[in-house]
Amino acid sequence: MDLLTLLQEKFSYSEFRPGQREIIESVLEGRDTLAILPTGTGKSLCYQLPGYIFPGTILIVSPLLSLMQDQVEQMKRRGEKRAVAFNSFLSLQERLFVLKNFNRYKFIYTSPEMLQKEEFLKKLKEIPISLFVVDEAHCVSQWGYDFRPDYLELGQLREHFGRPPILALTATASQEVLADIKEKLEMTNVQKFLFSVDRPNIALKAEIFPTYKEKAERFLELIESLEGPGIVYFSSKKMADEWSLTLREKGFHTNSYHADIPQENRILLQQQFLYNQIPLMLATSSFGMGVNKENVRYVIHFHPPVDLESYWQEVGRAGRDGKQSIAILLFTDRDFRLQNQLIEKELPNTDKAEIFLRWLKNEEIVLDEEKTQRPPDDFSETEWRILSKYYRQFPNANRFIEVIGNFFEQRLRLKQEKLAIMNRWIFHIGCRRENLLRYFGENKKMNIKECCDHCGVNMERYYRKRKIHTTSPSMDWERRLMELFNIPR
Amino acid sequence: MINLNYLAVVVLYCIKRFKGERSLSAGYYLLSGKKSAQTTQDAAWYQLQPLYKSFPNLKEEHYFKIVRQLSEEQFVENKQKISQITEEGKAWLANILQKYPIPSYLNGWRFHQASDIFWKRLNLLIQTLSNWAHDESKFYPVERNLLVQEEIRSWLKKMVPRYGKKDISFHLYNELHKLLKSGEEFQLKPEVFAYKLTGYEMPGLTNQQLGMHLQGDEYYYQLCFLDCLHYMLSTIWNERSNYPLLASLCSDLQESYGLSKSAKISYSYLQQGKSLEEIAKIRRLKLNTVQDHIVEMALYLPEFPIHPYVPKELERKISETIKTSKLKKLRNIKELVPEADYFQIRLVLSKNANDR
Repeated sequence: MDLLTLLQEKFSYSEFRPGQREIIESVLEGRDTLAILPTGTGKSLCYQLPGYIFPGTILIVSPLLSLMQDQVEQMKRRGEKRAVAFNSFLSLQERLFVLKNFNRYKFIYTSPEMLQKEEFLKKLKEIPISLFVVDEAHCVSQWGYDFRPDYLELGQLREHFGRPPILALTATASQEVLADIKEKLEMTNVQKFLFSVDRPNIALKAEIFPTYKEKAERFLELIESLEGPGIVYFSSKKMADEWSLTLREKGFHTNSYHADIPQENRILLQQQFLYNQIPLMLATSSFGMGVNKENVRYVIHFHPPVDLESYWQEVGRAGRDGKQSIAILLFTDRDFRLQNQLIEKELPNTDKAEIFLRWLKNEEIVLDEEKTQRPPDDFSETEWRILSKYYRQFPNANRFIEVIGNFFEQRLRLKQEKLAIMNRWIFHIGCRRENLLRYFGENKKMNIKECCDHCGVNMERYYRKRKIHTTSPSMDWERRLMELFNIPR
Repeated sequence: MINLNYLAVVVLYCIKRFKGERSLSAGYYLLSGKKSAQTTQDAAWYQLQPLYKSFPNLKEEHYFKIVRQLSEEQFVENKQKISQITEEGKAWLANILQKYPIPSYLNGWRFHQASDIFWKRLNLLIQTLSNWAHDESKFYPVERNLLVQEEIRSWLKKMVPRYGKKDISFHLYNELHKLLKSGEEFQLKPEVFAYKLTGYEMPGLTNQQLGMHLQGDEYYYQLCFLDCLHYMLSTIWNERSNYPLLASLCSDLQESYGLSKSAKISYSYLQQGKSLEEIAKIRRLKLNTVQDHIVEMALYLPEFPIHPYVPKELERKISETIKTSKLKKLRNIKELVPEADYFQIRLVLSKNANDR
């Protein structure tokens, strides 16, 4: 069957997006393939479609747990029931269920941590794997903005699976990172595909305020005048919560969304956003990846991200339908401090390493690869992952502390460099798009009318045409029940 | 204006019931549903079973923040690690509970296991039927647990041929309507249940959102929601024939009688006529642990005889002491009945709680 027919039949698309066909053909030839694609441009199709041609299983490794969950649900929705996300979100019973019915799955998403688990690995070795997909492949590189030591083992792991071709996907394309990906994943005879990360339908704007108060006022003004749906990114959960209260009191339909919100509520909020019942989401970076909402008209950064990679990924959630959209970043002096705190908080330092050792000793805990141990409250998810990973490798206490210390120093320096680049971009005088594209190794080719605040943005375009009036639903349970079951009155 | 939410009401209620006889964490363990002999005993002795596991996601630091707020308002007095409700606290609590009583069908102890699964199944099933009723077969499931998805799939496979794709919706609607209607006279809040359900392009509301549309806060609606589920389960189980579809969704679920796994094993040895010492030896447990199991049995097994361990006369004496002194703290009781050991006092306390 030819690819186009397959695309139509399985995905109901009539044509490929730029790059997809080339990548799929390379994969089908059995070649190691490295593809640099911006987010939101149909990355997942590049490995899902070959699944209908290859005889064996497609194994997808991704660090983003909720994203893989969302993708599996999307596949199920289009009728592909043979997909599963095997990660730490599953309960023990669910895991046993999956392992027992292992043969029914054609698309297996998993996290690098899970690939350490003997039982799971054993099952994987028993089945034919036709394609090994490494999503967010920049995580393998210590030069990347999101280095995950777990990723370093993926290259070796492939050998256990009968050496299927690798498809490595990323949205960042710095030369050192790409070289690192090829080396660490032990890719050979690589086909490389590079596509522009530009999103010409999103206008870029950054506004700088002398005080927080002025920034907050401007924020309110924007929320009141911009045409939604929109997403506002905060770097603190607490701020997202507080603003959501404030805005609700002013009559906006909005909600905060972050990692502390229980999963069942996150699913509801995503759906409410999708169906425009909440046209404004106040979120931390954990929101948006799995949300296939095409008509997001604006993204506001209430807090600046700590690197351009994250910024661009978040901005990319606007305008997926190709229509004109805008990204506005709001900045004030005190954000400098916040950014620095964020960077340091993310990384485990030697103090944390010592607390970690003491904790292990006190609790008489043996780090067990079979069980997923929940990090105790003092540790963030990231810290815990990195500490336990290095502890397994370097169980000697002194050596362990030294390794963590070096890791911290090296990562911190890199993060600070990335932060400096981010902030230079915020204060950049000149075309923002050009500056950003150059960072990603591209030249600005197109002449874009709504480009950035330097080249000129017509704000009128983004304002709301009609005033929205908010109504509270009347809470009549009998009517709701009738609506649910579509019972005529 | 006092700025306390309903979680604070519930915490204060627990503190009041504990009468300063339990550590501060006891309330946290109870509300978050810790599975320990101590917590289950606390729930029974202090009649707090309805609230057991009513806030499974509650974080410890959040709980203690609430306790601090209560102290700041002078509703709670802290003396040497012991917290007690003040007169002001009592007045405030009584006032709020009059307006917003703790829902009456709530029974976390009996239903926490069953209601969680029941809700997940019902929610996914109704979402599925709602989409079908709107001629849509593709949707994002609101419930992602693989096992629940599997259960609903096979439930539909079995039931659809029996009822027909259209009629099954209608039947389920009728059963639900009848069931919720019947609860209205008991102050049930069916709107909480109905608006948490998800349907075709109608995502359910979160507790917080319910609080915005109705009067109250998210913690209050969490309890009202559980109240609905517990009412539904107990009614369905009592009148299976009236609710055949709903009954088939929860026929495999059980009330939690509370014997821990380990206590169940000890129980079976006990039934074989083994003594406590023998059980401890066979199972390589401390005698204390086996005694814990016996206390569990006294707490949860109706008619469990405690006389092999407490002579009748002593039991009477302990009971009297508890009644007249209104004490539940073991040490205090022991001071008044020095001839009894702690195991015996716990047994009598548990037996009394069970008889109630």
